[in-house]
Amino acid sequence: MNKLDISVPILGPEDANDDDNLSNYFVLFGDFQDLNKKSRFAVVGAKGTGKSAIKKHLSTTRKSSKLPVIEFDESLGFSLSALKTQSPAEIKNKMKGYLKTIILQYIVASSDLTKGQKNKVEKLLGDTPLYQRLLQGATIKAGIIDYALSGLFPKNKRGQLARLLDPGVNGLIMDLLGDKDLWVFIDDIDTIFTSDDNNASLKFVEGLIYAVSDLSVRELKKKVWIVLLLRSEIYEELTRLATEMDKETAYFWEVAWDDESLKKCLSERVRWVIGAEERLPDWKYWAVLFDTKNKASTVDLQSYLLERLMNGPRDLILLTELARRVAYAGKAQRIAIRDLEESEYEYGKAKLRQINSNFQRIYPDIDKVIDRLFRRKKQVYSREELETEINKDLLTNPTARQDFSHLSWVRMSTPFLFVDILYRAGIVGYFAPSEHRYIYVLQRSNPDKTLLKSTRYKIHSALSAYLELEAVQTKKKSTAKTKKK
Amino acid sequence: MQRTSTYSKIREVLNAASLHKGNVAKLADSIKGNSDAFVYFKRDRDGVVKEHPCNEASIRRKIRFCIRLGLLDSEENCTLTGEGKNAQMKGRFDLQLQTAVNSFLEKNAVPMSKIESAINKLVLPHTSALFQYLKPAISEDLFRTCLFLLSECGEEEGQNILKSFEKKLYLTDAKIRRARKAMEKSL
Repeated sequence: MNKLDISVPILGPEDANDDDNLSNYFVLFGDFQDLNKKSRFAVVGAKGTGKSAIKKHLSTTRKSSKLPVIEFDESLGFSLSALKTQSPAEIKNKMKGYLKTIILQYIVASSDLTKGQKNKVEKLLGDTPLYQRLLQGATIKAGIIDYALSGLFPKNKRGQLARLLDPGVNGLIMDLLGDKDLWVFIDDIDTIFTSDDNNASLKFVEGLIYAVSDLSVRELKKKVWIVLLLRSEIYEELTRLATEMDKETAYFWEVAWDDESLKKCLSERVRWVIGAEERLPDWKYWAVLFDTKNKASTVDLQSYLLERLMNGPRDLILLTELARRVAYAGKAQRIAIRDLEESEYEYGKAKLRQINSNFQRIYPDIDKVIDRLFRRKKQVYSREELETEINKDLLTNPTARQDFSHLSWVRMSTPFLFVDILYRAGIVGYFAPSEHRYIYVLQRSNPDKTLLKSTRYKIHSALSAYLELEAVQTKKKSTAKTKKK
Repeated sequence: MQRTSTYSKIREVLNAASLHKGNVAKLADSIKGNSDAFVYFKRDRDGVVKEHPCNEASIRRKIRFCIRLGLLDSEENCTLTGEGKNAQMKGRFDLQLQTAVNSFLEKNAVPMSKIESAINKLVLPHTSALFQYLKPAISEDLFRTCLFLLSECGEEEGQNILKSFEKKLYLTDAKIRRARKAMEKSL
């Protein structure tokens, strides 16, 4: 097998949007097949869990097969104040109208319509301002946005919106698509549809989900499949505040990664970089990049590395890249476990910052709170111990409360709720006896409901070096006894 | 803070329990007549308002509330729990009571997040309106007591979760901010 040159980054960019080679090593995982079969329309996950990679892979595959696809970007966005409403029901209708406008514009601009089809468009929309814009074609994207802002959203233009919401337009879209189906991807919602007001953004996302559900599932009968890629912290806020959201959750894929998929994620990248044709067992590709002697030592290194991943592929790339730099500086040919160990402090620091940036909207300054609560303490607790620690050292500690007096989420929390927050942020995991391991949000988005007070919780190993946590005591005594026997 | 308020009564129950071993009745017995909080005022026949000790039943009610809050162990063993002991530590009573009430509401299906969104939604978020809107699994009286405690605990340091307005309406920081913004706009 070819050797790897570790003087340059090996696993590709951390952000899938910057990765032009992604389709060469994309790994199918979780509910991907359900999404592909149109049983899911919303992909929910923290930053770095692979949402953009899913979008990019599906979109690239469709484009290479010349199948219709729309990717929303800033050019199709607007400020939420333009919607002139904060009612989710009204947002739903306006966004349905807007999405139909974009879909119609895309179809008219990208396909050669037959005369019959052109007549149908004219018959249904000929007397609307939209028709004129559609005739201008794809080159005038701004014209369509302008139409939406001035002709669709204002309160005195309800007639225009009603025309677009008419079931006849659904029939027209399906007819124009013929035997093809159209996929629409909306990622980075808060950078496309902007607002300074968190509350307004949340109501918008709620309305958008209802609009997408109505259009994709019911009205356009899955001929158009609109996929929303949502960050988990936004989804978390929505489930707390949006009362009707539970009806839609069957269509949600909460991204979770198992160890096998993560191992494959790295081995596929290495396989592609070294240009290997054959499909060897995963560990063999790992051994090309990592300094291991045999299968057993590679498996040990895999466990060590995977235990330190909080969000999935992006963490895998980040930690490996940090260790690669250390290994290269030491003039090594491959990355050794000591290089990973040496990178852990920096990695843990980066992870805590990332958690803070991910959860800034709902749990601001969570990094400072975590640091205060856990630095130089134990890594493993029983649930009861953990709740007591939270109660004593944070919620009822006058100094801590004074220092965090600006954080209403801390003030309103309870020990029980705080453990839940820690789990959802990926900071702690619980021990599942049936699986003999700790489960984190990366593996299971919702924790087991039957957790006991004696259930063991562990602070994620990604943070153990940075927070200087007390190492977990291994059961050396029992091993010694077993040996004696 | 009124010395006969629920807040003061809970404080006295915990003080008494820290020196006590026994059940609810024994603890109530030890409090009766020895407390500044468990008293009521009544005008006697001679027209003078005098202080009288509360009866044991009302003391027992407050002790049972402390048990439900997780500050005392049980009916049979009215000693302080870990949380109760924590409340007795310097500067922690308000924060521990606040956390205990918060946890109690959470266990009864009205976590603060729900109360907060109800306050922000209702035009006049007084106790009865909140009770009717949230339909918690506790009595309205108990719900009222919880809201009162959440507005009192930590008030001096600005650490209270709810801000009471004229002692009848409950507001959150978010609601106050929005009201201020609306006022500024209208000016």
